[in-house]
Amino acid sequence: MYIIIYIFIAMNANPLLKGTLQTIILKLLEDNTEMYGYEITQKVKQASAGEIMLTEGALYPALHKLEAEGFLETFTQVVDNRVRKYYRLTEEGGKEVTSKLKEAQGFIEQLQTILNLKTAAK
Amino acid sequence: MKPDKKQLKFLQDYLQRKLTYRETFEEIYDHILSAIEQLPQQIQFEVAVNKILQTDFGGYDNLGKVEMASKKALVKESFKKFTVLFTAYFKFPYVLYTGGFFVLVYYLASHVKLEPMLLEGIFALSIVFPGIVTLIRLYYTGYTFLSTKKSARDRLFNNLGGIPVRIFVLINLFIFGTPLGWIATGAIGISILLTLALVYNFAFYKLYKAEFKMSITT
Repeated sequence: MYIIIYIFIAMNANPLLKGTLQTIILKLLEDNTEMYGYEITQKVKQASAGEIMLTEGALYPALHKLEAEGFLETFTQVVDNRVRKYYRLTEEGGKEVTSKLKEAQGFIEQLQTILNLKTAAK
Repeated sequence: MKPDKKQLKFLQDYLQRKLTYRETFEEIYDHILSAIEQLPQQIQFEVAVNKILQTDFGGYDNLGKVEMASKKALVKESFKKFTVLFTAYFKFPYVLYTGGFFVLVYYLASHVKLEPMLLEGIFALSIVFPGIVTLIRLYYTGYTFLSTKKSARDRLFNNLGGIPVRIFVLINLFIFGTPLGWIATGAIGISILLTLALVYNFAFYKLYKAEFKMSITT
């Protein structure tokens, strides 16, 4: 389910994670229908057994960027006297998940090929 | 941990010193409180807040950077929404209404002798309407969200609300030279201008309404 996340746990590579943050968000929302910011950070943390932390406030700009691109839509609810903003995939966002996952898988396969070649050359 | 009223007030004031816009404030405020609720009661509130800020946002001082990045995306999202709403009136099925309105105005302008001052009045109303909506939005923002805090979308709304007046003044000043000059364009010109003004107003009004979509959960 969280294939991309698990791969990066193994790699434990936060700079690489930055480039795939959008893919992770889209995949989480595909699996969970609607989520709010804190919930997303917790899911990522949970799925990676605490190895991956969305630090530096990268999550919210990424969510807003996906919203601006039309991949996410939002709605708000008042919970415990405070406003909570939920995110969910748009139809376009649903298609984007598939495309982003393919892209990520392609990248990982390429990386594996390169690394295998290097090992073989040794 | 369940924060008390004093602690909530502390958190609000603390965040408000760093965050200018309502949207980012609300999201980060909810994030911190959601995280705090998972912590045991014994932890000192201020320490917990700073720890969450450090872990999830890169520290208190990084909040401004987070807010700027979010603002940019929020403005882009609203502008995109507006263009989608505007262009929808030139696509099926709304294009039928737009076409119908255009034909109606064309018929009235070419067959019924309308007073130039009446046309000017209708047009003046339609170009001032977005400005009025902008003011109403500010009022309802405070009323609905119980906050006078700025919105990341304020500037966009102000700009979009002022565009019709600016365009109208520029066209009249530099192309026609008189306030009623545009009426001289004839039935076609009048129909195009009034139709565009109406479509712009509808799109702008829908953009304004979309901001207040909210459901209440207890």
